Amino acid sequence: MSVDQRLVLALLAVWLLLIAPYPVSLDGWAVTLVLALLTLDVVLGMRTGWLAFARGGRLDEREAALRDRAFRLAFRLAALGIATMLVTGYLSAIVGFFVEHQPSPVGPPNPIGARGIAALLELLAIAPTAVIAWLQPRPVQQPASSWRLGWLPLLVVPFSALLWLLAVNALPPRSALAHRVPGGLSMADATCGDFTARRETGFGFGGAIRLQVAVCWNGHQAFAVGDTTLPAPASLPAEEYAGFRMDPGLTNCRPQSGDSDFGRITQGCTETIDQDGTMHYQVRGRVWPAAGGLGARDLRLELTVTRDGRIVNFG
Amino acid sequence: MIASSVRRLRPVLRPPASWPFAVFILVLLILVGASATRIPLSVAFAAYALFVAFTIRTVRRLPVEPGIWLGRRAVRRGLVALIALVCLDFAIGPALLSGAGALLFLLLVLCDVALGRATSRIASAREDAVDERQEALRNRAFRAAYAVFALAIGGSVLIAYVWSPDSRAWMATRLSGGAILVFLQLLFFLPAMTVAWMEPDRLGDEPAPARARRGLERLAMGMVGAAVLLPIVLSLTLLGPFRTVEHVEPIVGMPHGSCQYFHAEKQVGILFGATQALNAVACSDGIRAEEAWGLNSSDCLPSSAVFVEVLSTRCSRTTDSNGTLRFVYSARVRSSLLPFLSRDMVLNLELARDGRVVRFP
Repeated sequence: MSVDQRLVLALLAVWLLLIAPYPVSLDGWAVTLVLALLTLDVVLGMRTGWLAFARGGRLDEREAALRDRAFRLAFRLAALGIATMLVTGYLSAIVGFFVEHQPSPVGPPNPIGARGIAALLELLAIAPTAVIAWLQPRPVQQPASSWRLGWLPLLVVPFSALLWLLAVNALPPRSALAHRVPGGLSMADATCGDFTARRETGFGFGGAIRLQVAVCWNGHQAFAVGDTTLPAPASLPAEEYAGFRMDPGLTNCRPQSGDSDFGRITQGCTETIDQDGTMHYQVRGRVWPAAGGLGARDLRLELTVTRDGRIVNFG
Repeated sequence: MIASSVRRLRPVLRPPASWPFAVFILVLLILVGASATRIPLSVAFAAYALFVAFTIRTVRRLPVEPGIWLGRRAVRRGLVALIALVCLDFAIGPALLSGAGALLFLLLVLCDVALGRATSRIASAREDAVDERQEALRNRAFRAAYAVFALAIGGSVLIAYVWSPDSRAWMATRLSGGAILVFLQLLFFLPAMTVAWMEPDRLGDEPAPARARRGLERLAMGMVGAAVLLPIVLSLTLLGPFRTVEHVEPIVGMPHGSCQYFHAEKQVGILFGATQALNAVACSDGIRAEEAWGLNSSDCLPSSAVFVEVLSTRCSRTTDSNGTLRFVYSARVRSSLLPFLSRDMVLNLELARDGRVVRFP
């Protein structure tokens, strides 16, 4: 097995790690995997002389034939890769539910996730080069004098890391909100609604905090249901409220799969009910890249609902 | 003796050049006849699906050669443009399982069959089955197709993801709708589409196909044309005349004076169209005409709508100072396949206080 083929296998292994159904969340390590992929991309690109991106005029007959064959195979490889991504996507949901006891993802739609986008773009960008590297009998010879300059493209890796760090810090956080009234919960003499929100950094390529709460209001108070660590409402008999046990499907203060792939997250939730019966639910979180505390950001999500169900503040 | 009879008969059985047109007219007449005899839509649709299946079988019986028509670059590019339009419609429009979606899907299948013929299926052919020229063309096409595929899929997914939460929600909706079909279409047929786009006109001095095969080709062309054009023609029937059925019958023994039962049906379009219906009883006592039942806002609904969207534009019931009852139900019928086509339909009932029917329907 040639060096190029070993590099391709390493690329495949890292790519499979990126889309692997387990662990469900990469806890900030996705960016490391992406940078590793980028490094392998550049190395493979250099060792193939960037043949996949070369214009036809400067290629000899053998190179042109190799490149043409590589693109045909790359099309099939892309199809296989996308099929693999679909399978691992479904497996990830199953693993999350049965192994890590994560409820099914709720809230604003996020069909493919930043991890999936990164894997898809990597697949589409490098498949022809990977095929060329696998098929070529020997690496394209570089003139000895240009050896040092030839490795300059590797600078793209630290440059990308820096750019990502800047983007996560400089781009404004964005929120996606969704609510449904009446929600899935029914309670005598009260109306309930489901509220979900996600606040993310780096336009989805940083971490995200999440709010997921079921709120009921009965004309006297608004209150959260499904998290017994939150204070019980005074307007509801204690035995009735005790009937609503801990239910992460209703109220949940944990990040979900996809929230912490590109950034580590800690988040906490608080609920207060004021004298007017208005509920203030707040999620405070901290998101930071895997390497130390560099570039950490504090994020906050709030929900305020009055005792008659009016949403005063959400986001 | 028998052999000479066969020889004599052969020219008679040979399909004439007008067969494609004849096939189309025949299928159209069958479907219009089916509409007139009120054959259930599901039966008509099953017949159409069967016809499409026969069309595909007939086309596949032919040797894989584009023929004169599909050998032309302009026709092939038109075919690619049509496929692109259908894909665009799926990406932003109907779900696969909707009525219009099912028809578009059939159209896409037919286009793909035609695409296979137009390109002699060289995009998916084994290496030993293509000559040097085809191999070079296929290689170029795959390179171009890969670039288009990567940019279209990767670009659209990335932009939808980072643009805004709304665009992300849109992507989620589309991925569970028709967009997945577009993705599969690009994945499996984009190289063939690129070959069809790039290949120059076929040379005119290629050997002409045998006469019998030409006949089969014409038949296949007619069937493909009929299958593709039929939904469009049926959508165009929306522009045809309204067909109205009305029936008024006095009712005896009602406590509100003189009462009458009104039944009217107004239809537009053949198979692909809508029907407005009115079933009501109204009474008059010499002073005032009044509704007994059937003239309320809940009655302003189309009784049928097939591959059209019906939007109620007016639904009103008034009684003027003369005691005349007026009911108007108007609706706009828009074709699902050709959304720029629409017709307005109105049903009226005007009943004077003395029980005289002034206007109906």
